[in-house]
Amino acid sequence: MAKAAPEPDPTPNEKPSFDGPPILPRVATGEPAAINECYDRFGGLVWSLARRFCANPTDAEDAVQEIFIDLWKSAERYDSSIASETTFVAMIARRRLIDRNRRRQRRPPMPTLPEQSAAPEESIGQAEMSEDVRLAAEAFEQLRPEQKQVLRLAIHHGCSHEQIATTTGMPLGTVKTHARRGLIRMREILRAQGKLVDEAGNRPGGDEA
Amino acid sequence: MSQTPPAGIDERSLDHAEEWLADRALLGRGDAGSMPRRFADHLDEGLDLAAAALDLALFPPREVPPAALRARVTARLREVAAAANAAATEPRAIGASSTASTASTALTALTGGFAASRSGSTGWWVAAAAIAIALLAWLPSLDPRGASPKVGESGESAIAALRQHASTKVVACACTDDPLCRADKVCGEVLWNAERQEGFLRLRGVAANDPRELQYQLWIVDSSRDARYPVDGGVFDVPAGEEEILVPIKAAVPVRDAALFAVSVEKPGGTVVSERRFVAVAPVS
Repeated sequence: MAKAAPEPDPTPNEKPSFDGPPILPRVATGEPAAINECYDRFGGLVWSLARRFCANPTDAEDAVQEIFIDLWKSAERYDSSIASETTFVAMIARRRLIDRNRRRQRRPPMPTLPEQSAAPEESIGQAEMSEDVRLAAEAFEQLRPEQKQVLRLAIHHGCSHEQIATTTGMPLGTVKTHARRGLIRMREILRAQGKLVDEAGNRPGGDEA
Repeated sequence: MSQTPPAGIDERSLDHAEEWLADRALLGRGDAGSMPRRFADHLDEGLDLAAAALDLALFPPREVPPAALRARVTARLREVAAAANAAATEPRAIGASSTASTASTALTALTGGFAASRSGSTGWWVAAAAIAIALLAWLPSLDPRGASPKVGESGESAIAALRQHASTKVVACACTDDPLCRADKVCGEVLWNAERQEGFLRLRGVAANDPRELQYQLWIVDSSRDARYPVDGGVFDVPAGEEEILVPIKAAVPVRDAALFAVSVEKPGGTVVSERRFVAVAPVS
């Protein structure tokens, strides 16, 4: 166990920020000081995701707690050559949030805005965002319009295929195809740009990472 | 599909696996169904990571968490870290019953469901709290290291280990006037350790139940949570001929500040909306 470092100022940041030196390797070793630092870095990210998926703030607070426990247990799996810490944390958070909603056998109300919005809510060039997130935004713009529409609905609240079919009027099978192919295409684009290499180091076409 | 199939897996099978992984990334493991076992060693988290990156790109995080949440989360993480360290050197408790896991799943739905449909239903917990307060006046103090009841060896070992922790709370469990509780006032005890999120209910003098007709369900009132949303501690049975039983507490969600444990009579399988028929309560003084 590493020696505990002085605890940082507990005052929450004014705005979520994800910059900084790697923290997950320290979390993986159980370093006590990493607990506060991990929360300070990713608390805003996890909270924002939880608020979007959860019906009320109380539920979101419970979800955030569960997500950080998941993160604490999963940190040793993180590989900086595959994705950024931000994306890894978001993946852990999404899994927990989707699973919570699935266990409840209900999902939050259908969003009204996402389907109508033709583009991401804001230009993605945020300084605090990691490069793979910025590239994901660019990759998204390369998808077919139908794939973008379906993925936007699926991603925003974890809407089911059936809900998306109802909202868009697309046949269920078409929704599934757009969702799967769109996401697979996203991964291919990211890999082609040097992001999201698989665990064997493969990129599309068999390139070595 | 442009990914090169791993050795021994044809392209069609890989397409099938990719579909499964895409569903998992977007819908979760349950909705995606069972993953063909033969693919497990060949596939990565690329689609999950792509979905996560896209999520952040489409909906940049902007919200600032409540200030109090930081203390809660970091405290809980310290508990987890401490428990992980302790687990490496101490024996673990006996497992919960299968019925408890069913109830846990059900109660997971309770918090959200109640908030949506039963926002005004605080009455039964108020009633339970009133019962608890009334019972506090005459409850005798319970020696936390009293005589061992006639329960299984594994249960006693687990209880003994739990008692050794300074942070373990031991509270007396009192009968209500329900006819199913035949004990004379005190009908058992609850041991609960918040750090380990582990505990036991020892119950005696409670009538055996027919699981086809009714079951007992343990609830935990957590004072750090909204009082409308008690935490499910599991569903259990009292077998015929058993004067005393030992029930591992399997809290459906983390319990930070247990204020009251209560046993109710419910339909088979437990419930998310209690019938409010209590047979025993254990207030944490």
